[in-house]
Amino acid sequence: MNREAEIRREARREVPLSQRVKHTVVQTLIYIFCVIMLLLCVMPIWLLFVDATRSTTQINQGMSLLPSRYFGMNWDTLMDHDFPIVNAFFNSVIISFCSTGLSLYFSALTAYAFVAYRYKGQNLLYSIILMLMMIPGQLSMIGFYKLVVDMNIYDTYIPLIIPAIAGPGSVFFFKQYFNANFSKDIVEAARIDGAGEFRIYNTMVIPSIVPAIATQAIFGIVGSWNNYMGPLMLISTTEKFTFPMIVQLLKTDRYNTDLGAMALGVFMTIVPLLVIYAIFSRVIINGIAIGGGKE
Amino acid sequence: MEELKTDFSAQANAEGEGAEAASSLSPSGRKKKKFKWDVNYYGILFVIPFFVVYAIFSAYPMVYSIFLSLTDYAGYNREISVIGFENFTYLLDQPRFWQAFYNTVIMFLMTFAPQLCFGLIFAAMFTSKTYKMKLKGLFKGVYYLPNIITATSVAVMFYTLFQQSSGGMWRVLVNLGFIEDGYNLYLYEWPSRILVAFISFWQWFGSTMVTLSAGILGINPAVYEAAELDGANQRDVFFRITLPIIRPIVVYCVVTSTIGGLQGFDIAYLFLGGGPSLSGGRYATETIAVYIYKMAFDTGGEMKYNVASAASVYLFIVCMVVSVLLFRLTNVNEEKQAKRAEKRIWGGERA
Repeated sequence: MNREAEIRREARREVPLSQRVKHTVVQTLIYIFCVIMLLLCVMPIWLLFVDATRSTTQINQGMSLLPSRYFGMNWDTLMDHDFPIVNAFFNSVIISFCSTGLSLYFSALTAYAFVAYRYKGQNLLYSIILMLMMIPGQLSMIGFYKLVVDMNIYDTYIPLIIPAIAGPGSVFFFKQYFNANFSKDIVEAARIDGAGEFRIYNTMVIPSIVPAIATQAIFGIVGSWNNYMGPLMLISTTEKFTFPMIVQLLKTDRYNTDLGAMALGVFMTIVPLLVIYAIFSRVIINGIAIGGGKE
Repeated sequence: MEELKTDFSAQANAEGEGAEAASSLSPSGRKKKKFKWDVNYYGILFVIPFFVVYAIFSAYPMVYSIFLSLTDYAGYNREISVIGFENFTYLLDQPRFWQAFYNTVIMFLMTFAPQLCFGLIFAAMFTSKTYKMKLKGLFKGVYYLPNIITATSVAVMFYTLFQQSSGGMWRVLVNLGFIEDGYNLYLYEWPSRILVAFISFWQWFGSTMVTLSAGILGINPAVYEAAELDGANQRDVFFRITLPIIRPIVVYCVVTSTIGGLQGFDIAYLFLGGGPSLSGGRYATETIAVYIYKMAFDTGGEMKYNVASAASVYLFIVCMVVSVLLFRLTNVNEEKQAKRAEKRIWGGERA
């Protein structure tokens, strides 16, 4: 083995010049390609930001890559037209934090039930949950709407929060995590000490899966935050609008005449997510790797 | 509950763990006389909230939707009566429904084909051992960024950027000579469709790329070392080793993207509201989901809940057929077994 490794090392040292040139050229091309893609991802957001600092006249004159000085004016225009951004922000915070909290607690509980206990029909139940992940949400849409109206919870946040308890996707995520990290020994030791099952779950299991909870929390909050169709269907009072919903207001005549203010409005709806992403991008990207990459 | 005990011991043994628990339980299982609380019943207790909430807020609405699709429930109609499959045949006669279906599929393909290609190319580049890249983390992070932003904001952002005369990107297209000055992209069938597809691509390409590169990074390095020793070149390594091994993940991407793509709503709805309109009451960028939503809820619409439900049943059937076909075609079960075996053998080392 050592000899082979040595031979390989030798071979690498004596790579002919032409090949080394080729290597450099290819590498440069790859970087150029990557940078172009990078610009494609960032440019629209940057242009939007620039437009948010420009006046309508300037925007009509053409594109600019540098910010102007009308940010304050655009902001005043938005506020003069009662753009409900502060209100919507807090509405979205309430909905996304409550629904994610419930989702985390109960999804982890459900997943825990599949790894910590053994009973008949368990595998069947788990396959059902996996199957539920495949069903498109649209199928239940009309029935859900009718149910919400019949239950008299239309135009409230209840139908946007409570159903989060049953999220097949996050159950799957936690089950994957438990599969790799759960150890029965601690739980059994706690049982011998006389701890109840609920107490074991609340005081021992939950603290032990904090990394998974953190990852799933970010996904849950972002997912709930970005949900558009649900609130659009179920909320009718403007004061109760969520963040994605106020975006649609910007396309109405009330706002779309002032292009700078409109751009600022759209940009403001992006800012909270940009901040979250700036802080948590590493967690998010690793989280996708766990969720999708390792089945 | 009583029944659950009988097969318990077999189950536990099959699982290969919890044998201790099984031995303590099996006597009570055999007696079957008195109900005895077992700690494992907490497992059932703990999944109850999930299934109860799912039953109320998802399963029941699904069944209810299917029921509504067989009725005449529209508008403020209080008396609902079953009319059979009329809504389903009605939809088949609607050019607008077929158009929506066509739009959904064509815009999905225009999104997904480049998404998968670029995703694979970038994943291969970021994981390449020959061309060790720097700043990988930065590139990945930025490519994923669009996916995190609210789709509605993305749609309106691009709406302003491609708007005739005032949009920055529109100006770029004019200056590059792709379109004439004064050309309104939003009035034409294909330009608007391409834009919707482009926006979806912009939002989802990073997600595919990250998932695929995670899959490639999960491959045992020993496989590559062996290939290198055998003198395999870059192309061979990618097509003969990497691609076959990550096939389950590619399938996962294809299935999730397809189901997501068939349900596409936010971007199509907020970008142009499904427009521009075509002859015969059809729309150029109206997806099935947008069609369903408009049928039921759009202000000034007819509130045809029954037709909307029927359309959602069609959508459900298509999604199911497509995902079953995709899984079958790609033999994911076989791959899963292979992967499981690989895990068993390499498990310790890979971690």
